[in-house]
Amino acid sequence: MDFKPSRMAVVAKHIEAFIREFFDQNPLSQIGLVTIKDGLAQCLTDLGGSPDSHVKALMGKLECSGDSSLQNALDLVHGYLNQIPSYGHREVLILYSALSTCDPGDIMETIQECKKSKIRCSVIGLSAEIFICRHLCQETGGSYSVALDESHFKELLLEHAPPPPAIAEFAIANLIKMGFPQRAAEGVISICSCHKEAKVGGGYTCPRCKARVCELPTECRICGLTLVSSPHLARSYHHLFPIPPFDEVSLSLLNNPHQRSSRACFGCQESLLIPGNKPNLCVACPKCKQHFCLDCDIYIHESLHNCPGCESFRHSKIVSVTEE
Amino acid sequence: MKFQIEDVTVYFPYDNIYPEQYSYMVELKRALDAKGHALLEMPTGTGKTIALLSLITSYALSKPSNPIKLLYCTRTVHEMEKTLAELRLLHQYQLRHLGPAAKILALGLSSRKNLCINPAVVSAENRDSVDAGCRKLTATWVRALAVENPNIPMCQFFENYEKAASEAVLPPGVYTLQDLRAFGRDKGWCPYFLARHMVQFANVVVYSYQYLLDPKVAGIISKEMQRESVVVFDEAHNIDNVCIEALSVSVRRQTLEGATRNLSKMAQEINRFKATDAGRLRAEYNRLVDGLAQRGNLPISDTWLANPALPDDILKEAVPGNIRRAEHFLSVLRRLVQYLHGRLETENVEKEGPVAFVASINSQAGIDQKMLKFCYDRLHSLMLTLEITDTDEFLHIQTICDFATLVGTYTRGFSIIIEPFDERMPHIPDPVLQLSCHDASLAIKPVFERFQSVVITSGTLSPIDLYPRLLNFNPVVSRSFTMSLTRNCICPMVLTRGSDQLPVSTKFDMRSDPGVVRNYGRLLLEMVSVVPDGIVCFFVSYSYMDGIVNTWNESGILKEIMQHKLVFIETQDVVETTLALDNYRRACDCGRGAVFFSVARGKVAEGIDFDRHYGRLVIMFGVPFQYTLSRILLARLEYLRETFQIKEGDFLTFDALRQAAQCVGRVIRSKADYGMMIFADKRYSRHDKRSKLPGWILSHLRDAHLNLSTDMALHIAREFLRKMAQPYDKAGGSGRKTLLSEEDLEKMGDGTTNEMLF
Repeated sequence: MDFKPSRMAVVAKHIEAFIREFFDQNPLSQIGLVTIKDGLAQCLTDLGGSPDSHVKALMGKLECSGDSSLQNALDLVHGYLNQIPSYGHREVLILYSALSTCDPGDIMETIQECKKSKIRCSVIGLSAEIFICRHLCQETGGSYSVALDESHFKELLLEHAPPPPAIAEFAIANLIKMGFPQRAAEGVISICSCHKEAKVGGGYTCPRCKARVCELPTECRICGLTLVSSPHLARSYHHLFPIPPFDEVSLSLLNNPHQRSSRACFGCQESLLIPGNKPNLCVACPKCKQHFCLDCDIYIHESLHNCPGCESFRHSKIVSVTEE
Repeated sequence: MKFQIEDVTVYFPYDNIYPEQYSYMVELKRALDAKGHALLEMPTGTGKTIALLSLITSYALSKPSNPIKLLYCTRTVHEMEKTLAELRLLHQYQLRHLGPAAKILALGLSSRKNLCINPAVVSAENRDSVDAGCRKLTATWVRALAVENPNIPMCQFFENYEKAASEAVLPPGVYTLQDLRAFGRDKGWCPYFLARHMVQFANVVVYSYQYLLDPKVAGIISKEMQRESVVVFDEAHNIDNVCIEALSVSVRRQTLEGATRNLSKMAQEINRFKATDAGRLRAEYNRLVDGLAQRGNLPISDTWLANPALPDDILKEAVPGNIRRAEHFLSVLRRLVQYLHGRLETENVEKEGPVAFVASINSQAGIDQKMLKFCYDRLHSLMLTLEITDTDEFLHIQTICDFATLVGTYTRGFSIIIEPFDERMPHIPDPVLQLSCHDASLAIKPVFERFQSVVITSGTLSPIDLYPRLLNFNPVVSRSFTMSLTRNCICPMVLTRGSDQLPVSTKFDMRSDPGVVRNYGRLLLEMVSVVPDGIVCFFVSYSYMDGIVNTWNESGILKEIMQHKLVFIETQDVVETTLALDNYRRACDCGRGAVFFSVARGKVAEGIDFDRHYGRLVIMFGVPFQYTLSRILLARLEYLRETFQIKEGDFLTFDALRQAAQCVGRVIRSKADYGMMIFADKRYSRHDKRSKLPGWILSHLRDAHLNLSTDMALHIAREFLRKMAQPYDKAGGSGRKTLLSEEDLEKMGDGTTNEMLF
């Protein structure tokens, strides 16, 4: 009933999937891997933004032995995350297989320190609920869950990929310098700055120092500029302003003859009434009160990340202001 | 919330109520209506206390013409404070809804040790010395002397209290012990005497069992309680033992030596008085001729203990002539001590009934039954006359007189057992003479007779039909409630064999079998590797625990266990155990994990909760039978069989299983909690044992879990823990309603109530 073939193998497999999913959702974020074993916490990879390098480090390097020490791990992670500028989220996700923690000092102090540094710690347990983990998550505002089986574990893990909604007080607005490199012309041979070898085609050119990098997002090795592409930025951006879930609209309201205009979906302009004049299920944005069909609801929340109703409403307001 | 139970409007301080609390109240109300006694079993963690308090206070409010008083008995001071805190919450709620009409006076009463605010007195280490310290400052003769001589110290709190006289009253409200102390400090009044005075006027009194059951204390404190009272014994599964202890006395060699010292001290005092104040002794003599001191007339600060015999059995006669004079009485006591000394010299175990014992005292020491009977009161009177205040010094002679009075008063239900050495350590002579009471109904009988309703309640009262027989009363309501749960948060298992399929048991012929010891060790070892945080293990006795832990240590199992969790052990030393418990809790808190080894019937098994992560699993190694070769137990069993027709086996099993249930019940203290219970003995799978477990455990004991081996139990444990770690809905789905709101209760007509609940 436990994880087959071993907890370690299962964890490694799903971590890989998680890393890829994570970078897909948060292209600007960075991950570092830490292992806890033999009473020590060791850094497997430094904080970095390249999924491949993490996955490579993960493969074959994992082993398990000895006691685990949550405190050592938190201390190590705390050291790393403390350097992150304040506009970033500091998050720790712990996959915990052990049932105890063997610590050199008072773990409660370490937890308080993490709380002070606004590090959000979440734990996914592999066997049973442990008090100290629950305490840690409660204190730092993270979530605690225990996996029932492999598929449940995967589900829990992937829940952590989208970032939590920004907490206003931590998010201090800061201007960051970023470069949007252009893709290098095909067929041109140049030496890339990340692998230090000549490559034909592909890659991007840093707009400031013209150095060549293989993949985005990254930091330019030469001038230190953060290099991203605009879809990356857009994808990260929407997490900061999530669209509120739409409310279900009662059917009787729809049949009200005075509200003729809302009988069509605001997104796709299809009628909300199924042939036969029976009303279909539909939803409304709590802000702009426009009605949408279920298909548009899913599209807006999962891909578009913008409410067409609110956007056009805002637009029309701006227009009206300028007209005066 | 507010709802109706028949004609009573019940005020309940929470927005929701558990269905079992509701039916508990319904049953309780019926018992109150019938003015009869009730026996109610409801699992811990379901809010028994608040249900009781809320119904009884609401009942009193609904009948303002004839208000009933609530006497609530708890076992510990801690429970007392908890109860009062809940009552305060309830009271505030009632005040909000009813206004000043709901005003009541509720207070806790405890010994001076817990209530005294005089720093010089309360710093003493034990209860007796605090009592004596108080008496030294407040006895009438001390205060009389102090009027003339300002150098004699007095307690200013008591003086202020006396000065305030009838103005010294508590305004209505709910007072915990702490509040009483604070109030006393504020006003400068002694909280102890104030509380004792106010007890008569209070609507609710919370105090310990002894104040009602022990005739020595009850005679002073609870004498004036009105008949229209409801007496509640909470956590009363051991009430029969409390009753028996209240009437049992044991005399050791140290007691006799101490008594001899006390006697010579008293003789000196008498001589001193003869020289200085002969009139005093004569006055006492005259008083004794008229009849014994009327205790009611004594000033409140002079009384300390009443007669150890029950009120009905005390003769209201004059003291027999031959012990009226102080010297004569002393020489009687000397002869008695001498006689007991002689009896203790024996090399064989002796067992006698009180009649034969009294006859032998009469023939050998020349003390007859009537003199024995008056010993205690005579001593009390003498000590008052001699103005002895350091009563803690005179405990030994009090014990002797206690013994004499009981022996002289009772002819049935007692026996005297003299053992020259402890059965388990035959080489160390430690003679002890015990007067043991066998009949629990004796001590509780006056309570049943005096008060209108007596409610006995606990989490474990199974089998519920045995208690009325043991205590010899007829309850009008006797019911056992189960717990309504949103999820199956307890997981009892009966483990009958180890992984190698060999049976495990602590049966006498099997317990030292290396296979059994090893299997128990493996069981614990496997469990520490799958259960997080705290595990509690209960063993059948200290000696068995010592033995098995030693063997585990030798075979290296203990070392392996310690790799997973730290190990703590309960010892007979209270301080050591408290320290161990403290560290156990810390180890659980910081995530290291810990195992606590404890003993059934020990202090830990009775009073310490292992809720939440402090106890995710409790393992009961073996069936905690009493030590069946104990003479006292044998004598009691014989008496039970002859008088109440309770078979020995039945009683032993009942007693063992209630202890086991008590042990495993420590693990779950609320509905949000979860825990596993393993009964590791093959005998638990037998129906006669199993069926005596409380209903709320039995209802979760699935047939598949009745005959497990270690590996199967391990598997179940893993799954259970995973399942319990998932988030859950506290209010319960629509299918299993476990929280009822006001509307729900209104919807339930009387007819449909029971269908919905069960």
